Amino acid sequence: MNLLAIDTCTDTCSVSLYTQGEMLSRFVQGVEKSSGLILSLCDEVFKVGQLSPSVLDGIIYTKGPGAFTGVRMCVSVVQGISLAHDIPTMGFSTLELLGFGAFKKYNTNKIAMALDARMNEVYWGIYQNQALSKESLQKPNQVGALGKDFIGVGSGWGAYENELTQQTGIGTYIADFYPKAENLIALYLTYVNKNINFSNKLALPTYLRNNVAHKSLK
Amino acid sequence: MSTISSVSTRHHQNQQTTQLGVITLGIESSCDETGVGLYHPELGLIGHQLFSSVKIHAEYGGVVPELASRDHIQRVSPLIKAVLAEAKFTLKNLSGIAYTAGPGLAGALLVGAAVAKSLAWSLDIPSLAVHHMEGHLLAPLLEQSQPKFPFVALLVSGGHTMLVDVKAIGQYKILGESLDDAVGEAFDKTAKILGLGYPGGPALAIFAEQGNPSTFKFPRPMVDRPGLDFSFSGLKTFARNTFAKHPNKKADIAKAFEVAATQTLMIKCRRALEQTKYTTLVVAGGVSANLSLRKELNQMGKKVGANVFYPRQEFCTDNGAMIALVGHFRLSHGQRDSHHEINIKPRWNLEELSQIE
Repeated sequence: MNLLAIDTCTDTCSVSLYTQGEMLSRFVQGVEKSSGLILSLCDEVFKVGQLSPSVLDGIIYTKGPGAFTGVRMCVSVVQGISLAHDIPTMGFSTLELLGFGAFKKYNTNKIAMALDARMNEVYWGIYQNQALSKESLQKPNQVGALGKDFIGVGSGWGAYENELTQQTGIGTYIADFYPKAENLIALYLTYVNKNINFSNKLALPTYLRNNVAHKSLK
Repeated sequence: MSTISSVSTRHHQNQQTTQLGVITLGIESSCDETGVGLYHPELGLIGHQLFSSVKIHAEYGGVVPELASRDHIQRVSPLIKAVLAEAKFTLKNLSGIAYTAGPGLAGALLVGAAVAKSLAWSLDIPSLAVHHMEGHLLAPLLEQSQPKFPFVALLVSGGHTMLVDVKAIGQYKILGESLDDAVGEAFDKTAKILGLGYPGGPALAIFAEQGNPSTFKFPRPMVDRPGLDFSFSGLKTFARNTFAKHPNKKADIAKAFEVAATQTLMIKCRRALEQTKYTTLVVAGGVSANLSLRKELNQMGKKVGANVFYPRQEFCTDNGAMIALVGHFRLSHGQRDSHHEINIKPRWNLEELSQIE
């Protein structure tokens, strides 16, 4: 099975090519407009793997939430690659990917994900018992109490440290925890076990923030 | 195309065409319209489709960039499939993909660029960044009756007003441009002042037909001084002040505005033709659909002995056909994106373009 996973929804950019049970991955961090590098990274891993995109059995991607431009970069690239060879796709929430990544890395079952959404808000989600239970756009001081057995991950914990710790009661958090494409592949494989698989529908973004313009009163 | 007599040769030819594509796909997403076009080297334009999100923006009184971007991502891929199906070709028949890389709205450009580049990469064919305004100024080359180089081009839309000296494809010199509002913007803003909604430019033109041209005399901005630059914001203000004094004379104000704007454009075009000594004028962009402007320019052309060319009405506004055309010209001369990085140029000077050898 040949799979491609990509994420550019936040300020990191990552790709992973899964072939013959092995992963070829690239991860870029700390570069301005890093999402624009995604296709170059794809080209790199396919060259190393000596494969062509036509052999892909599926593409796995993050559909958001995140920076609008990054989310659209990710989804547009998935649309383009998949359109060329009718490759089916599967999109995951950026928050679920973060939660799954933290579950794998820290071996804990209770995770609160927060991505900095600017404008004094966070993209907020809870990952519990290996499932994303809810995701929403929240004011950091309104996310609700959780308890000390949770850990926090994601950029929101850096941006709104005080509000989030006071609200949730969480003491342990990792703000510099990032979505990674190789975790997307592992996450996808858990879904296959649940009989949920690729779709031929058009890949589309999830924004969560939809109030982006004010109607003219005139 | 030549007739092929022997069966074996035909078989061979068919195989070749299925293996090697010849068609250029063009993708436009610089503002509020998603357009795709297909250009065949022998058959010319073989398909084009457009989706406009103008109705979404109308509620907001202007283009909302974020909403435009959100719309493009839902439209581009389905439009590519639709245009290929309409023309009865497949992606395997493509030889290259051109996309508008600028100027325009960053978020909107990015969607078209990312889909175009990743599709091209996945198909292992070249992609090419195309300048939106070059698309407009070469759009008349999609027609049967084509202008010959060199020519003066007047590009008039909601975002641009410029006169360009076009010596050949890629050899452009900007002769003059608007120092403030684009002429299409002035049409839309004046329409808004008169309560004609958004985008009101075309509505203003229809409304002006009922107006008396001699009720009001609006100024012709910047025609009394040398040079080929424009200024239209004063005209809009003049319309606002006149409307405040004469609220019952809407149609006459619309007429006076339209006459002033179109005559100003005509005077500058005449001046540009005199200055360059060219005898061909090309007019493109959304405002080139305006019939009063066409009448004004045609009359002037007759007087000075110049031929005036326009794209067909549907290619005056943004479209994918013109991007496919430019892509075809440039890709067939070996130009292509040199890397896989997806970057766009929301500000991009027309004079920076390379010429085709």
